[in-house]
Amino acid sequence: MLFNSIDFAIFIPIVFGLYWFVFSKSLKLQNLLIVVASYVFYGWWDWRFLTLILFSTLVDFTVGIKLSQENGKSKRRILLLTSVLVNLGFLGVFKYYNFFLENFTNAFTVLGYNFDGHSLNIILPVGISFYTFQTLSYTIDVYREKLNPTKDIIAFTAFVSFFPQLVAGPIERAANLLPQFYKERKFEYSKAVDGMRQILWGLFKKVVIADNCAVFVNFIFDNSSELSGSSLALGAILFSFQIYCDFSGYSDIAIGTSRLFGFNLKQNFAFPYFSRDIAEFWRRWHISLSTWFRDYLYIPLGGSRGGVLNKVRNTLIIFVISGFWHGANWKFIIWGALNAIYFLPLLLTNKNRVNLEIVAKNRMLPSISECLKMSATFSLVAFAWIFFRAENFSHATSYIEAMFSISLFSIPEIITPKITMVYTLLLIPILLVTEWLQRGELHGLSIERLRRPERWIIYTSVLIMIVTFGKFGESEFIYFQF
Amino acid sequence: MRSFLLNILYFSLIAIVIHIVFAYCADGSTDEYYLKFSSSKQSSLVLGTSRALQGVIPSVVDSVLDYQSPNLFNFAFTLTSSPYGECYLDAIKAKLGNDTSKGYFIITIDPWSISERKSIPPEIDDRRSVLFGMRNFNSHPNFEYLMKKYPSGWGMIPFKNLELMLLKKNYKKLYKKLNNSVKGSFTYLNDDGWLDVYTSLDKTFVSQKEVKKFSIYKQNSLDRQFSTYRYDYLIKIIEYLNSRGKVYLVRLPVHPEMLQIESDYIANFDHVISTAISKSEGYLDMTTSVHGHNFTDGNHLSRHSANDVSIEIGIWISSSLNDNN
Repeated sequence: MLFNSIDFAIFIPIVFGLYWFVFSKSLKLQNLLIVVASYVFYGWWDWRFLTLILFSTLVDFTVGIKLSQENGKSKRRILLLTSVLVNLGFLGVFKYYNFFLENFTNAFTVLGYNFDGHSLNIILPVGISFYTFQTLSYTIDVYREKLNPTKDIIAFTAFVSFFPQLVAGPIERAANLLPQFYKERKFEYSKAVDGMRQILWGLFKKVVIADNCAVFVNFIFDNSSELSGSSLALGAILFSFQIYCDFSGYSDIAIGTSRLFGFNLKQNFAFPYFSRDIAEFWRRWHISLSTWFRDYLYIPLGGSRGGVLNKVRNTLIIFVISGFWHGANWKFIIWGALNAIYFLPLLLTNKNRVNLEIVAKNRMLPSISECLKMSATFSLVAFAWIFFRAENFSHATSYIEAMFSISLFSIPEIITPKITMVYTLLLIPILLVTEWLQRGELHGLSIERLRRPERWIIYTSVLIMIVTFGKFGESEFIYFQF
Repeated sequence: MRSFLLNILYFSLIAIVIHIVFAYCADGSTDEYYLKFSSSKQSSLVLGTSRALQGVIPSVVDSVLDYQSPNLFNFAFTLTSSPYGECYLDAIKAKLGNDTSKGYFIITIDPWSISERKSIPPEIDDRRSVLFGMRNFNSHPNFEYLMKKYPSGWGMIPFKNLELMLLKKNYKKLYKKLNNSVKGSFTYLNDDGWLDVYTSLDKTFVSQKEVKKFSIYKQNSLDRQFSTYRYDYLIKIIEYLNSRGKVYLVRLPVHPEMLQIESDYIANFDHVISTAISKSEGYLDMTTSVHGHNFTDGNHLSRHSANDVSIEIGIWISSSLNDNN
C-alpha cells in the first residue's frame, strides 16, 4: 500500500478510529491492532511477503529470550550469529544471490572455467533491507546487554512490522521504539496536529516535487546519448531533488503518521542540501541508516581510532557497504566509494566535525562563503547521484562523458511537456525557501509558532499545490526497491 | 481529540471545495473524453473508434450540409472504449435526446471495431471501456466521470486550462518546432466532440510511429477475430438509430500498409458487413481515396486531412439528402 494512494487514504482513518475510539482502553489491543494493520499494509503488496517478516520476527524474539537466559559467551555468540545469519541470509538470497552468481560466473569465465550456476527468479520483498536492519539492532543490543529483551510477543511483532516505517524506514533502534509499545499512549493534540503537518509536507515533497522531477529525469536518463551536456547536468540536478523529496517525503509521512498514533520516530533527514561539506551531508542524510552503520559496523571496526590506514579502511568499508545495501549492482558500490573519496580528506585532516550546527544559525541569510560551500557540496552529491540513477556503471560513465562536453555550456534542450518543466523548476525554489526558513526545525512545516490564520493560509496553499501539481498513484517511492 | 477531528474536517472541506470549484473549470483541455460526458443531449452523432474521434469534424460536416440537419456531435472514443457492443449502445441511448427523430448518424466502421480478442469474451473486455458503468453523460460538472477517471483528485484541471491556453497561443511556433522533429504532441477536445491532435508531421517521426502502429495491428490481427457479438450490436445500433433519423456508414481512409493488414485480417470486408450496409442510408468506403491524405501514425488522419475527409463526408451526405428529396 502506497502512502500516496487512495487505499492508504481509506486505510488510515479506519485504523486511527479503531485505535483511539475502540481499543484505547487496552494497550495490548492497541498493539494487536497495529500488528494486524501492519500485516494488512504489508500484505497489500504480496501476502507471501508476510511469511518472511513473521519468520524473522519469531527468530529474533526467540533469540532475545534465549540471550537473556544464557550466560555462556560462546552460546550467546551462537545465538547472535543465528539472528544475523537468518536476517542477512534473507537479504543474501532475495537481494544479492543473483548479483554474486553473475559476478562469480563472469570471474570464472575470465579465468577460463565454465561455471553454470542457476539464477533465482524471485522478486525482492518490499522493505526487506529496512526491517532486517531494525530487527538486527534488537538482537545486537540485547547481546551487548544494552537492552532488556522483551517477553511481549505482540509488542515485539508490532515493533518489527510497525506500518508507518516498515517499508522504507526510518530504521528505528529497538531502544527507542520498542519501549514505546509498553507505555500507555494518550492522544496529544499538538503532537497529532504536528504529525498531520509533517504528513502534508511529506506529501508535497513526494507528489509535487519528486514525481514531477521524475518525468524529466526518466526522459533525460533514458535519452542521455542524444542530449546535450547541459541537459544531462540538469538531469543530475533534478534527480538530486527527486531522490531527496521522494525519500525524505516518505520519512516525513512515516514520522507524521506515527505521531498520530502517539509514537515518536527519529528524524531521518535534517535538510541535507544545506550542508557545507560532505561530512555534514552524511550527518543530515538518511540519518537512521548512517547511525546504524556507525554503531554496528564502523565503531566495532575501530572507527576513526588507530592509524591512517585503519581510518581509510574503515571509511571505505562503511561507505561501500552502505552503497551495496542500496542494491546489488556495481553502480551502488561505486556511488558508495565515491562518497568515501569525498569524505576521506575531511577525516584525515580532522575537519569532518567542523560544521555541526545548522548553517547560518540565528541569521536569515548565509554568507557568501557558506553559499559557495553549500553549492560545492551539492555539486559533489549531484555528481555522485548519477551513478545511483544510471542503469549501470557503463551508462553512468557514458552519461558523465557526454555531460562534460562543450555542450555543457549550451542552453538545455526543450523537453516536452515544456510547461511542466517550467512549473517544476518554479516549485523547487518554493521547496528550498521553505526548508531554508525551517532548517532549525524538525520538518519543513513545523509552524506552530505562527498564528492560526497564517497557519491555515499555509496549509491551504500547500494543499492547492498538491492537488494542482501533484501526481497521485503514479509511482512508488524509490527506496521501496531497497 | 474533538479539536483535532474538527481541524481534519475543516481541512477536508477545503479540499472538497477546491475540487468542486475546479470541476467547474473542466473542459476540452481536461482530457480526451470529458466533453463527451458533460455536453447536453445530442440529436446527431458520429460513432466509431479513435479513427473517427480524430478523423471526423462535426462542425465541418455541418457547414457543408449548411445546417440542414441538427448539429452533429462526435461521440467516438477508442477501440478499447467504443467497439460496437452493449456498452456503447447504452451510452448512445443515454446521449441521444428523447425527442430526436430527424437526426443523422455517421457510423464509422472498420475490421477492428467489430472484432474481439480471442482470449477474452467481448462482454468482459468491455469492462475496460471508459463508458462501462457510466450513467451520467450530460451534466457539467460531471462528478461521476471525474470521480471515476480521477479517483485521486482532479486538481490539475485549471493548470491544464492554462497549459492549453499557452500551447494554443504559441501554436504556430510550436507547430513549426514539432515539424522540426521535436518529439511530442498535445490534444484538445473541441466542443463538437472532435479531438484535435497537434503533433509533428516530420517524416522520420511519423515513420517511426507508423512502424510501431503497423506492428501493433499485425499482432492485433493474430490476437483478434471477427466478433459475431460486436457485429450483431452494430446492427442493433443501426436499427435503433434508424428509428431516430438517418444512418450513414463510412469507412475512413488509412495508410495503404494498414489497409493491407486489414485486408489480410478480414478479406471481403464489404461483403462481411453487407447486412449493416443494407440497413443504412448508404456506405462510403474512403479507403480507396487515400492519396493526398496525411496520417499521424498510419492509423489516424492528420488534422488537415480530417478536415478534407469531413468535407467529403458532408458532400456525400448532402447529395444523399438531395437524392431523397
